[in-house]
Amino acid sequence: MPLDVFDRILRPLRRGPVTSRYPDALPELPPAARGLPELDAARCDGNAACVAACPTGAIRVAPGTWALDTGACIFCAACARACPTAAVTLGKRIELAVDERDWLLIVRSRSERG
Amino acid sequence: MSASPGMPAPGPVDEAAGPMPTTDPAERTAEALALRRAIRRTLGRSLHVRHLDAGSCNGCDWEIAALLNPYYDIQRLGIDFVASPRHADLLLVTGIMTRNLEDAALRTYEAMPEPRLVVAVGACAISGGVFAGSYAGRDGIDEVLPVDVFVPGCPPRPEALIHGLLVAVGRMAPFDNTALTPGSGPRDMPSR
Repeated sequence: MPLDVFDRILRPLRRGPVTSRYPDALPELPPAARGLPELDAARCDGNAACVAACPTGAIRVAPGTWALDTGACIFCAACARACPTAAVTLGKRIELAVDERDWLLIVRSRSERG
Repeated sequence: MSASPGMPAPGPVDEAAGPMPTTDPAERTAEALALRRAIRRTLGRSLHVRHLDAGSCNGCDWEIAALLNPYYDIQRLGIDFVASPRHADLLLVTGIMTRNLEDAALRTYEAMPEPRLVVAVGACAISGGVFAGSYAGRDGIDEVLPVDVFVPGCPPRPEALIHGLLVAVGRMAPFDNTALTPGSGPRDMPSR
């Protein structure tokens, strides 16, 4: 169809720019995008299943704390899948750049239940 | 697989970078801020980037390539990639720093005019990632080069890379984990 051809040429012109507005706007993430692993401290019972599941050893569990080294994390969600209490989920936080290595360590306190 | 417990041990430092920086966090932060102001004064809002692959799987490199496409279009931010470290203000390093690339990476860094910045991209460049403990390379590029900004991810999304580049020149705030970490300040990793 000849009219189809014109439509195909004009469609991108009508649509306008596709360029992302980031960093002026929030990043537009696809639904499957995986950001920083987040801990629901109230649900964590310290069973350390996430520690065993983590392929890079990025997670530590100590009495009263849960710690993640984002510098080692590969955002694979193995911790979230392994957690029997569903305390770990991968959020949408992706702006994680820091200027000191120490700041990549995220230490969360959690209620001690067992 | 071995973990990365706390701060990495200070490795051999490039002589061209001067003496080892102070370890006092407050002093280092002040130093970093002063350096950042100096860089911003010198470079304005423009930034020329040289990408260096130091033994990466190419995942991060593809995300870096995506920065140049019409969607992310990093040139709209005054940032562009250059073909030589001699033209660059910032070295964007991916990969674990393999043994065979150490010399090349150091020479690349030394070829850059000052002031110069180094950004470590991805889990490998920061800590070795899935390759940590390998006989064939380092656990992160900060054992060889002085890193200014760390961009975590495996690979980091292009937005995360833009954030990292803008953090490096002081146009965006670094990730503040004090909101997640009760009490403030960097901490040591607790032992298991």
